[in-house]
Parts: sequence; structure tokens; C-alpha cells
Amino acid sequence: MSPSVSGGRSPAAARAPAAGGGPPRRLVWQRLRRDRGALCGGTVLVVLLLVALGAEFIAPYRQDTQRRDLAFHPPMLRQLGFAEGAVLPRLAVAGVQVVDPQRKQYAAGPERWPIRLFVRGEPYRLWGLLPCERHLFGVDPGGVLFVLGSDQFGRDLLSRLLHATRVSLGVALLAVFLSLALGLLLGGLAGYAGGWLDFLLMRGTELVLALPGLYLLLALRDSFGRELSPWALLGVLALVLALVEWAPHARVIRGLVLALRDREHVRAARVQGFGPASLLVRQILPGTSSYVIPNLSLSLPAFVLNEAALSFLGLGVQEPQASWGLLLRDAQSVRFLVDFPWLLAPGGFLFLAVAACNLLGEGLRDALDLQGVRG
Amino acid sequence: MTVGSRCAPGGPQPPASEEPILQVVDLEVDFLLEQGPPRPILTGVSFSLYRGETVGLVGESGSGKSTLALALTRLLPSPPTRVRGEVRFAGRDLSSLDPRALREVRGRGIATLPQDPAASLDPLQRVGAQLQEVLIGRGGVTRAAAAAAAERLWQRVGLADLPDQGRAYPHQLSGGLQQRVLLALVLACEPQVLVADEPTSALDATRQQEVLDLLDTWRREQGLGLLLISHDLGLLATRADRLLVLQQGRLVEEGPTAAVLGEPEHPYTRSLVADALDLAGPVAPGPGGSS
Amino acid sequence: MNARGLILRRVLGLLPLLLAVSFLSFWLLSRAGGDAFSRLLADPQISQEQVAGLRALYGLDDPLPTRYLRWLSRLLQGDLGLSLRYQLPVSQLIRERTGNTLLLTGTSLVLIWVLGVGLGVLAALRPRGLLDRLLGLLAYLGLSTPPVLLALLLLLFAASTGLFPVGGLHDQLGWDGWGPGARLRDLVWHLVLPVAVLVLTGVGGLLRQVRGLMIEALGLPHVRNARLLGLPEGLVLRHAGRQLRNPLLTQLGGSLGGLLGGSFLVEIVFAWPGLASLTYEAVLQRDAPLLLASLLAAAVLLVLGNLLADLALLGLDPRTRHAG
Repeated sequence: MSPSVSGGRSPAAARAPAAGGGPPRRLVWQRLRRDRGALCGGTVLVVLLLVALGAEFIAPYRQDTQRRDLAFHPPMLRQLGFAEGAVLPRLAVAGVQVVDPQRKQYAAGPERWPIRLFVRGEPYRLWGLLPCERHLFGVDPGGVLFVLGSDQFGRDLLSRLLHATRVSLGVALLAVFLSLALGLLLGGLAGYAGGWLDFLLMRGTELVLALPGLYLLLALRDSFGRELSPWALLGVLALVLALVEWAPHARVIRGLVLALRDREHVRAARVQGFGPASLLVRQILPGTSSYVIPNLSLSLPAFVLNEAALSFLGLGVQEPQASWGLLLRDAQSVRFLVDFPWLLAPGGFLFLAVAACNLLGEGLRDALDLQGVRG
Repeated sequence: MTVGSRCAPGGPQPPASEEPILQVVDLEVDFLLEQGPPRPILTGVSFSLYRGETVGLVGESGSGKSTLALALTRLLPSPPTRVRGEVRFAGRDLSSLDPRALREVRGRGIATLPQDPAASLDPLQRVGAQLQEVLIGRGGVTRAAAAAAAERLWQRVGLADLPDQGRAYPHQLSGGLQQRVLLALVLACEPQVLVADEPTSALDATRQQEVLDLLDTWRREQGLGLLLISHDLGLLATRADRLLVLQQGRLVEEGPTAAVLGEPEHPYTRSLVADALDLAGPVAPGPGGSS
Repeated sequence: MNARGLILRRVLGLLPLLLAVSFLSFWLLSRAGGDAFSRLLADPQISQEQVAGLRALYGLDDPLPTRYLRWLSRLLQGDLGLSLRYQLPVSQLIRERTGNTLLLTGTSLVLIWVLGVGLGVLAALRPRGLLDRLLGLLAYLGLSTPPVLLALLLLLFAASTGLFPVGGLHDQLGWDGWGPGARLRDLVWHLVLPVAVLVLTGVGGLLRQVRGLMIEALGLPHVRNARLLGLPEGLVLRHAGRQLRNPLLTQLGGSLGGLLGGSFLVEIVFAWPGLASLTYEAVLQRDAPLLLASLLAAAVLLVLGNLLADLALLGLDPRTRHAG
């Protein structure tokens, strides 16, 4: 059945697929296309990935642009209206008047700032390389556009969220690949080699599984020290997440490899004189694809949530960089939460990502399942 | 489809005046598939079963024998199925009954002895408790009365010396003993019709005969209508009064055993008879094997 | 081998595991660098030499195995050291906080299992029926909702309506002078929201699993046989349900592990004085003895949970009980 993501650690091994290659690719694709849930999930994920790729361009502001005079401005939904355009009336946003800076009260001003596409705005470097100044949408300098409101430093929450998408998904995806690679390597080794190596590796998985997810995560994260450069930090985060999650994968893959090792075609290859390495890579690992592929998607939520947890606790991504969990940290204070409930918006992104991964992952698993779809 | 039906002399033909206890008219079962047209499993099956009579149903695996057994009491497994036609038990059409009344018919009216004794007993419950459950399950029986009845039933099926008075779990019993436990469960229902679906295919030759003898005795004593289903014509030849031959969901031949065996009309029946002769002679039971 | 031997072997097998866990934790913490005295280095009133002297006094400069063995021998004597932050014996803190965490996760675990099994069976009775679809949707929503988000939403709800407390385990002013009834009521009142988060996000997976297993069980030959025998529907369901016991029991241990992990942020958000909050504080304060003990306590909880599930499995399945 489906892995629960509530624990932050996915019991991904809940139902291991039968060992052996999956059904032909065409059939998988056909099944997948009929699965509306999987398609929805896939679409949402693709959109999120596109956002992650083009965050600087899609966001109206940089992630660190501050308007301290406009801290905790609510989402500008009520201020949205229409302005006279040359041909058609166009979407516009009202200007902001500060009513009470202490109590963060704002009102809509009389002026109207049309929302433009491909507007010239703050300069940035796309992917840290290409100098650009066009943004997908925004208002001319002078007006402000806080679609989802602003935080305590007057930074645009939407812009920070879009940038956070890159960090959160990037770290999580990296960690997913790392953990599955670790699982494949160690599980494959244990299953293929057997003997004392198998014994040792399996005791290792027991050891990792004996500490509840976040406790282990915290200890691991702590062991890498606090003072890290931003890039090193992201790498360490991905590594730590992967180190927490590889064990269940390794167990399932070991089982699959054990079953595959004695199959006809593998034996035949062994007789033909293929070495263990090429046997593993060519004959055995492809047989684990019906487990690995769905789990790329099914285990992603656990990683997204674990990264969010670390950042939420202040031990993950550090300011001024943003991640979903770090943004949610602002909502931790009850006073902020009640007065500025839009600070919960990052949670919406978290939900979206997790829900989409679950839908897609389940669809993939069913599509790759030789036994057919379960009731 | 015409059914080769004959009135041959000899054999315990029931009096024509008596109403059959089980009457099947034009029974059709289709599996409804997710894609494509429904797949017919049984087509236009009609036959009757009288009290005290043994009717043998023979057919190869996949011919729809087990489906027929389950369709009689409307207990067909998924995939979704469509059942048409009539099954009349003691004059009542079962398709018109609500689930509750249908449940009354199951077991007490029409009981089924399933194929695979090992899988048909609850592995996690002591066999004694399973028998108690059947005896008490419907209510109206005290625990003491049930215990006495259980004692009689164990003796009846030859399990008087069952270890620990039924405290055993199914996995601790041999296949033969498991089959006897199942038989006790079925007997506990005191049915009027017993459908035995390959009752002996899991047993060795001696045990087969013992179980069949038991069924026979009981049929005679209780006036039970016995529908004996098997792929093994040799086995049915010695036990059945009449034979039904099922091929790909259709009854292709019906008649008194001697007549069907002596002068098979349908080519399929002829090949079955020839096979049975080839294997072991006309009366000896063939080797077991599940269908 | 008889059942008692099996149990004994299983329990003894845990000792090396726990030993390994303790060493892993010890090693990880020693890697973290910095200890109780590293902060003193920044203090201008204390000289480097004094700090070095303190370190030597506490043996912090010894090699890792030496330090580990020293710590282990104290642990075996029941001495977990003194918390630097609280200036209290670590063992006392751990005992108190572990109890609170057990209260939270235990309550949730019971509710999750009662609801998950009940609703899962209900859904399995009519696959693809209205109720099944509805439960499936709710399970999916619960499964996809990050516990931390739900916790924050409920916190917002509590704070803006005042219907529930915004955190903690008991009234802000403490329980002094409260009767046992009032204390219990207050405790339950504080438990409601955190438990709700854990149950709502945790029940979906189990529900789906029970549903799948039950549908499978209802098609088993012996369950069909119960129907063929004309047994009442309740008894038929009992036969099917009995089949769920073993696969579900094997899940029970993992379920506890998931809850211990999942409750971490919930404890933080609701300021629940449990093991997670303690661990978190220990990390922030670099309180090594405390952190080490919290990690070990969490591992012991998880391992004991698994052990109990295993023992239950051993005791309940006649096939394993009579095996060998």
C-alpha cells in the first residue's frame, strides 16, 4: 500500500514489487495516461520544477529585497482592480498607504499600478550567470506588488516562495537520488555478495532504522557542524537526508537482488563469463526498476518534509536563502500566526508538492506493477 | 444447444411425481471484464437433482465446474459476474431471495465441500472452534448441545481420536484429516443438497475411497442430493447415478451413468471415456490432481 | 526451540543493537565539534588555560573509545550525567520527557489503530462504493498534509477562537492545588490538538492498508467457505479480519517509529514538553550529555515498540508458536 509520509521517514518498502523487469514501456505509458490522478500529480510536479528552474525570472522581486517600511503587508488581493488601458482595461494593483507603522496597518492608495508582463524590474543573474532585468510579471518601480503579502522585513513572500521552491526541491531531489543510489549500491552488494558483507550491511540498516527519523536527522545534521558556506550547506543537507533514508531502500533492493541472482538469464550471463560488476549493472539492477522508478516519486515527499523540518528548526537552509520550511518558521510564533496568517502560504506549497508526488508515485507503481492494478 | 438426454432402464430413477430438490434452468454466468465483451463461463446449463441421488458432473479444468458450484448459491468471486437463469431449491428461485434468506439456504440447504482443504480452513483458528462456530453460529443451540453434537460429528467423519479434541490448528493436520474436518463442518449444517467440488483430489487413493464412502452412507441415510464434481470420469463412474458432461461451459451430454459410459454420444464424452479407459480401466479411480 | 527460547533470543539480540546505537550517537556528537566548554573560550574572563584545565579534568581530550567506554560504564551504573542547561540529572529529565512523549504518541497510536482498522474494514466492505471513495479521498488528503502545516493551522484555530490551549501540557499557572479530576480534564484538553494532528495525518496510510488487506482476505478460500457454510456475516468478517492480524502487527512497530518521527515538529509547535523538545533544546544549547541521552531514549522507545509487536506476533500466530 502507500507509504505514510507522516513519519518523515517513508516505509517505502511497504510493498515490494515482484522481482524482474517491469511490463513493456509502451504498456506502462498507456496505463499511466489513463490514470488521471497520476497525470495531475505529474503536471503539478512539472510546474513546480519549472518554477524552481526559472525562479528569478518568474518572481517579481529578488528573494532578499527588503521594504522595511512595508513589513507584514497582507496579500494584495483586495487591492487588485482594473486600470484604464490603451485598448482593454488591464489588471492593476493599488498603491500602498501606511496607516500605522507600529501596528502594521496599511490602506490602499488612490493610484493604480498596472501589472505588466515581462516588466523591467530589479536586475538579477539567471542561474547566477546571465544578467537579466526582465521579470515574468510585476509593476513599474514606484508601485509594490505583494501577491501573497510580505514578511517581517517587508520582503515579498511570493518571490521568496518561488526561490524557496528551487532550494527545497533541489535539495530533496538530490537527496532522493543519493539515497536510492546508496540503497542500490549497498542493497545490491549485500544481496549479491551475501556472506559477512550481507550480514554487516543488514545490521547497518537495523542500526539506522533504530533511531526515529527526525532524531537521527538532527544528530546527523549536528555532526556536520554549523558554520558552512551556503553551497556546502545545501550539499550537506542533501547528504544528511539521504543518510537517514537509504536503509529501507537497501533492504528491499537486497531482497530483489537475492531473487534475481538465481534467475535463468543472470545465470546464463554468469556462465558466459561476465564479471560481478557487469552482471550487477546489466542484468540485475534493471530488474529493480519497478521498485526504483516509483520510489523516485514516492519517497520525494519524505525528503521534502525532512528538509522542511530541519529548516523549520533553524538547522537547515539559512537566511537570506529561503526554503519552504524556513519560510514556515516565521509562522511558528503564535502572535505572528494570528496577526499575519498569510505566513502559512509556504505550507500550501509543501502540501502541493507532497500530494503531487504521492499521486504520481502511486500511478507509476500501479503502471509498473506486473500483477495489474489493485482494487 | 441440445443435450443428449436419455431415459435408460436401470439405475435408481426417482419417481416422476417427486419434485427435484435442486433444479437448474438455463443458468448462464459471464465474467464482466474491464474491457471488451463479457466472457461467458457457463451457457444454458440445465439439470435436476433429486433427493437421495448422486449426480456426477465431469469436465476438464476450466470447463466451469467450480463456477457452477459457486453459482448455485450465488457466491461468485470477483471479477464481477453476471448470473442469469434459475436455480430452484426446494421449489424456490434463489435469485429472488434477499441476502438474509440466501444465507439461510447456504449450508443448511445447499452445502458445498470445497476443493482445497488446506486453504478452506481458517489457519488461525482451532478446528474445534471452527466446528463450534458452525453449530452455534446461527443461534438456538446451547454450548453444551453443540459440544455433544461436535462429539458425534467427529466420530462420524472418523476423527474421534483427533488430538486434543479439536484443539489442533489446521496446519498441524494432514491433508486427509483436514478434508475430514471440512466434512464435519459441512455435516454440521445438515444440508439437503451437497455439492462436492473435487472432494478428493488432494487425497491419496485409499483416503479418496474412505471419503467417498462416507458421503455415500450419508446420502443414503439422510436422503441427501449429492452433486459430485470431478475431472476424473473413472471416479464418478463408480459413484454417480447419473452423469453430466460439461465442456467449455455447456452441458454436452446427460444421462444415467451406465448409458453415458456405454454409448457416449458426444465426441467429447467419447474422448473422456477413452482417456479413462486408457489410464486405469473403467472403474478404478484415476490419480489425484487438482483442476 | 520453544517460545520462551525464541523470546529470550530476540531480547538478547537487541543488546548489541542498542550498544551500536549508543556508539553511533556518541560518535556523531563527538563529530559535531564544540562541547560545553567551547563557549567558555569566548568568555574573556576565563583564560585558555583554565578551559584546557577543565577539559583535561573531564577527560574531554582523551581518544574517542576511551571517552565512550567511560560514558558507557557510567550509563550502566544509571548515571547519565548532568544537563548543562538545566543543571539537573539527565536521567530525571529523560524520564519525565519520555513519559510525556509516550503519552502523546501512545494516545495517537491507539486512536490511529482504532480508526484505521475500523474505517479500513468499512471501506473494504463495498469497494468503490460511496463510503470507500470518500474515505479514500480523506486518507489521501491526510497522507499528503505535512503534520507541521496541520499543527500550525490548528494552532491558529486555537489562538483565534480560544477553544483550545495554544500549547503546553498543562495550564500555564501549573497544577498546584488542582484536584485529580481537574488535572485530567486539563491534560486531555491540552492533548486534543496535537493528537488530532498526528491522527489525521497518520491514519490514512493504515486505513488504505487495512482496506487492501481486507479486500484480499474476503476473497480467501476459507472466508468463502465460511459463506458457503451459511455463517452470519459477522462471523464471516471475523474470519477475514483474523487474517489481518499478522501483517498489521508487523506494521505496528514501524508505525510507532513513524509516529516518534512525525510527532517531532508537532511537539515543537505545540510546545509539548516531550523528548523531541528536549532533544531540540539540547542541540541548540550544545548540551551533549542531554542530547546523547535523548537520542538513546528515542531509540529505546522505538526498539521496545518493535519488540512488543514482535512478541505479540510470536504469541498470537499458532504457526510461529508451534514452529520448530
